[in-house]
Amino acid sequence: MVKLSFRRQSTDIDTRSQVALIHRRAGFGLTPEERTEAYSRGPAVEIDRLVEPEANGLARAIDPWDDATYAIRRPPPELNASAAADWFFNMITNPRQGEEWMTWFWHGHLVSSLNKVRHPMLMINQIRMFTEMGLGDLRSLLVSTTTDPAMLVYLDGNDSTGEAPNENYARELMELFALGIGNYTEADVQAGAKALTGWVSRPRDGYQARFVPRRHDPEPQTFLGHTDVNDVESVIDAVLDHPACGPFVARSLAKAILGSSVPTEVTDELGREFASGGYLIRPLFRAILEMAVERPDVVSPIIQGPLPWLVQAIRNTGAAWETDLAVRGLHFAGQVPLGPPNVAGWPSGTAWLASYVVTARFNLAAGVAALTPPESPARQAAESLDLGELADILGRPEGFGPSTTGALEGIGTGKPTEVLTIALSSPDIVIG
Amino acid sequence: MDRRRFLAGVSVAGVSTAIGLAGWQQLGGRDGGTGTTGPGTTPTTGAPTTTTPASPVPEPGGSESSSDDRILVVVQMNGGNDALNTLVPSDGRYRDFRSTIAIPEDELLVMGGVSDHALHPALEPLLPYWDDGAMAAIAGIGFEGAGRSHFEAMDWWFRGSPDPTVTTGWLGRWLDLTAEGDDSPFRSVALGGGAPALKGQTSVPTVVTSPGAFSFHAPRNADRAALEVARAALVDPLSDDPWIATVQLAQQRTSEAVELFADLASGDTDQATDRPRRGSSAADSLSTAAALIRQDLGTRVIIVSTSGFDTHSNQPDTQASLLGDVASGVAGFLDTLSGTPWADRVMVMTTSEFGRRVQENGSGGTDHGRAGVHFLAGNGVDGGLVGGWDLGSLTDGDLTPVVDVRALYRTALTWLGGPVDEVLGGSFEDLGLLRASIV
Repeated sequence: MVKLSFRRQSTDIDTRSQVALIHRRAGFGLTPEERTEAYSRGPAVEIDRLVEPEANGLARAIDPWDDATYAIRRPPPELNASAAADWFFNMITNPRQGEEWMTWFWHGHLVSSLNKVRHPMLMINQIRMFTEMGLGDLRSLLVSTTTDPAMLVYLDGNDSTGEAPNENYARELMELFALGIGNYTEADVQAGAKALTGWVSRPRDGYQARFVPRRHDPEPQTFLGHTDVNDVESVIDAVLDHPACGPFVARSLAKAILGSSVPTEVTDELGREFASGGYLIRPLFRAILEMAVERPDVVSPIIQGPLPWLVQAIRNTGAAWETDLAVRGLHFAGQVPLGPPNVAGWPSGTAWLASYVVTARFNLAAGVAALTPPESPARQAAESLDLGELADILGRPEGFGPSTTGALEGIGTGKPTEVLTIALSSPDIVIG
Repeated sequence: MDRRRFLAGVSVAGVSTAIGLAGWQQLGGRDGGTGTTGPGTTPTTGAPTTTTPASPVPEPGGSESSSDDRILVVVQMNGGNDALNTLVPSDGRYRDFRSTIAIPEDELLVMGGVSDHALHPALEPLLPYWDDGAMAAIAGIGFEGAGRSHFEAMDWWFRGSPDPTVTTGWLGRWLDLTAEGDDSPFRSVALGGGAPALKGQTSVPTVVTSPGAFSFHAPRNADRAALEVARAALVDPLSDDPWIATVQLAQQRTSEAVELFADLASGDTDQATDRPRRGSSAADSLSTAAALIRQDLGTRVIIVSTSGFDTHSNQPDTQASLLGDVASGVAGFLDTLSGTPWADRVMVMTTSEFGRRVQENGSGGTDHGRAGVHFLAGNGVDGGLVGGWDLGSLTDGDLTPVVDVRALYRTALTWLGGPVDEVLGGSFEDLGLLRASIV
């Protein structure tokens, strides 16, 4: 690929590929209508629209959750699936695709899960917080996450007192959220746990976190080489002051967008700039997206998780799928929003090629295909077996590879549901 | 660290007993073998070692299976099972450390031949195997120098090595080295979750999280035959692009696996009672494992994953339910195969990334710790208790690892047969827990 030249000619293959790439990697794909406009605007403008939705006049989708439904004392389990479906709907419809994608990214990085949190309102409020703060500064984001009511349940802050500090959050803050293993000691874990005691979240406080002084250990701790650490802010400041923090967080975001083969030197450099620039997330997001088009040498394939793959399939085809049912299908694929399997977040790479994911993905593809309406350009291209156009609609302007092409041609014209099912589950589309 | 030594169980006329903690401490420094009639070996200090197994001693009722057809079933208890409440010491300090979550004395299960440790009540379904000498407990398993992170600990266990440059799982390496052209997609199978321990350079496991939902559905009114043909065409020819080819191979294997599990589920075998249940508990997965084994498809390794053992709070109820699921599942698995030729060909082993802190944490739970306790069960096992807890000698508030994880793995790999030391990157202690006819 050539270096990005921001040509006005919007239909050349490099431009289309670049636009499609950034929308697959840092958004949830394009609808057929958006696709035409995005191609003509070109990658530079599209990056700006993903990164700066407000300045580009893009309205945020209306908050999908109705508090009256979810803020009840003993929510029945089916409300969990419903809360996930509401968010799923937002991913499909939100004009601010970059912001929505970043919310999803933070959900998989600063992990809490309904599996343990149980109460959907707490998870909903955490996702709202990620939407509000996910493109802001990392300090505010980490401070808010540390005292987030769902997080206080998920990583046991609620059970942590000065007398009996619980280490779960302090450990994962360093290991998985901000520094990476090897950059702290067991003594740091224990000191961090003590310094963070006192925060609790209880439904009777209106789903807000509260600081209870008698549960707090006010003793100044030595934490990551800083003395006098004894509250949330001083813990987070010590974490941010650690030289591993910028590179660790930058690498996590860069891998999600550029692929896991992105060189460490590249992400270390991004991370140092991120730290020295005051940990502003928006410029980091922009720098990584610019790299996606300007540095094809650092971009590698990504085996798409079932959720981003499915949202893209629905946006590409316009399938009219009842979101509750789609989320039920995602359950079998192992990626239901709000329910990451553990504190490390979603698996990645070939984990999404496990046999059970392969079957679930075929079945989801069949669902999308069956519900793609007759007027959809995707269905029309499938009907007439216009494979170049179909691949382009599905976010692959480069076209399908030989095996997929052979499989689709074998089905023949006049069978759009079958063609769409196979196209969406083909290796060309599973790899994003 | 000065590794503690221990004695393996002593087998007398086919009935296993064990030397408990007192004997273990008393004899701990002895650099000798175990009992007189068991498949004793020399416990050694440090690892790797160059110890070789002692010569086999004929054993009445021993297994006759050959190593070519033995099967290992690993029950992986994710989250870090609390070892101290699984195998409870009679040491009075136990109740001081755990004033709210100690298992009440009158609920503990007495283990035949063991005076100073007892089992969690939820393990009751396994007691007959213990009493028959077909079950071993190994207390104090861990890696020296391990931390308390789930993910690091899991990585060490999955790799069978603390070395982060090792990229394969311990069973994946064994599968690679013993494949000899055997490309059955069911040689290694993971049920109930993923299984990085099966990751090899060339071998790829079949992973099924929920057997009941494992099938392809066609859209309503779709041309099913056309879909089948097209699904097959997607993977043929194999692409030159390694990423595309990786996805193609996964799709191809999946199609084969779907066919098999459809047979299992439809009862399309002569053992209709073994149809898998539609769930994802350990017991359900073990039921599926038994049905799969009876299909005789060259399966050698099955990993059953079960989660939820990370009991930072409300441990008593949670652990009781999880251990009960595992125990009833393992007992059901062995009972199902009992009386069939498969009975002598299967061994079950448990794993978990770590044990938990000795001192309870104030939330009715326990935080991450170090050493764990694990079990082996099956006709090939020479049962008994190895090791035990020393609450007077903790490491940073944790039970101290005294048996290297790789010694447990050595037992499992010896059972399977093949290049044990090559897989483990050295020669590790022989725990002497296999019947003489096997080693």
